[in-house]
Amino acid sequence: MSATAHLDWIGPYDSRLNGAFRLGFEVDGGRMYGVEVQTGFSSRGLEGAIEQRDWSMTVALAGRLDPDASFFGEWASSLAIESLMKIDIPPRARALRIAAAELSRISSHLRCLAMMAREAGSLPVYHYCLRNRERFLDLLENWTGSRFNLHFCRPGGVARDLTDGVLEKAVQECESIVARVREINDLMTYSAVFMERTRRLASLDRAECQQAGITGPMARACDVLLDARADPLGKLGYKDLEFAPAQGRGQGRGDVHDRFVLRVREVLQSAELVRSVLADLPEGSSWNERARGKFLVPSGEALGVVESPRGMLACYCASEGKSTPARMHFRVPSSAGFGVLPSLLEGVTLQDLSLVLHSLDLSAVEADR
Amino acid sequence: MQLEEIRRSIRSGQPHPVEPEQLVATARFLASCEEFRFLLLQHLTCVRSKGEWRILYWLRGQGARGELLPQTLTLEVDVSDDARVPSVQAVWPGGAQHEKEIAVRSGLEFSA
Repeated sequence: MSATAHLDWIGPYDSRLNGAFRLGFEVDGGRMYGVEVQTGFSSRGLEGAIEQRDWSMTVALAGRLDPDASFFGEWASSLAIESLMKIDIPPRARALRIAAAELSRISSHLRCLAMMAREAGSLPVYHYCLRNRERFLDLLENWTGSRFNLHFCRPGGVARDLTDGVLEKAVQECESIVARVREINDLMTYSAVFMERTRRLASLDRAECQQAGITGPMARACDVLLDARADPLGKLGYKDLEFAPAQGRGQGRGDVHDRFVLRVREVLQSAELVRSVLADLPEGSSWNERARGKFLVPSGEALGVVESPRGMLACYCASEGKSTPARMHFRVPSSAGFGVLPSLLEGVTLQDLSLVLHSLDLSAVEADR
Repeated sequence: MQLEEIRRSIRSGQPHPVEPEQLVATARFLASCEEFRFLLLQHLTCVRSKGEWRILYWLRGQGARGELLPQTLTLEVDVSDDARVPSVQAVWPGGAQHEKEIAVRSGLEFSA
């Protein structure tokens, strides 16, 4: 009999969980103790599959890393490949990548906010968030031809320049989201019931967060100002936009409410970034011709790092000068999140379980690859 | 401690080779040294090369509030198939998840 046989297990497929993983715990007075997590149920062997494809196909598969925000896997792997090829991308391509990334981030955050609203019992906010997310997905579809697996970012630039009407629609949606966020705030963010339930719930302090390697909104809600977009090396191109990471309440701790507020702030911040980048879009090509067609990548190794909606996403890429990568390995933000899950869920009531899990926005698909 | 060599690796961007038995001491120094502040283990990966495993630790400097600093460093540890690799969890607890992945991929064992 295993050491954990006495635990109650739920999952891997359970409506209380936000992905395919198992959660084991003891229940005492409706609260969970001795929590254990098992992942690996969504493993697709993605990195192995990528290593068998030629260079031009790797990026499309890298997008499958996280179905909710496929652009970021494509972006991280493109950066690594461009670094190996020692090519720079045109300024217009860099700006278009930022616009697409921020639109994807808004869509991903709105999904997370919608799920939190549903679990908190605020159905109007759930519908408002999903309604607005649909508009951003429509926009991405108009531009890239796809809603989820965008296949948009490629080594050397982006697959498609702005199509007719996309710029105007993007600006319009980014302006209208400001009014929508006001609705969300009025109905939910600062409502006494929601604050009462979520303040001090599943909180994490700054030191725990940094030690565990947590990144993304979960870390920023604890006032850790870690954001790859604010990287002083400025490889992503946010430097000219005077980007500063959103942060929590300044108390060095982040609970479920802080995570909700932080994502709301990031939606507004991303909308502003899209507006500024599209208002000052550089002229010229959106593609570096050196990466056209089937290209070869010289020997070497490189790391591409981007800030996905869930946190810092890094892609290590090694080449031996052959037609396929020698190694492609991702650092996914959800892995660190699953690492702290047992301590975070200690003492949480069963009725709050789903709300806490959605506030963390962990992706089992991304962690398992 | 090879301070000058570390500074050179940071400037050149080339991996800094470390003997397995020196790994934890080097990691502790790099994380605690005010000049470097390598508090973030950005990535940990392994790659097969010339019949050995190369384990790469991608480090990143972090400021007092967690903000990224410009300095980056890659530590490189070469080990044979049956070697036990010292774990860096004592320095970067978040490395546990990465080490678990590497162990599954390569069959290497990480000792506490």
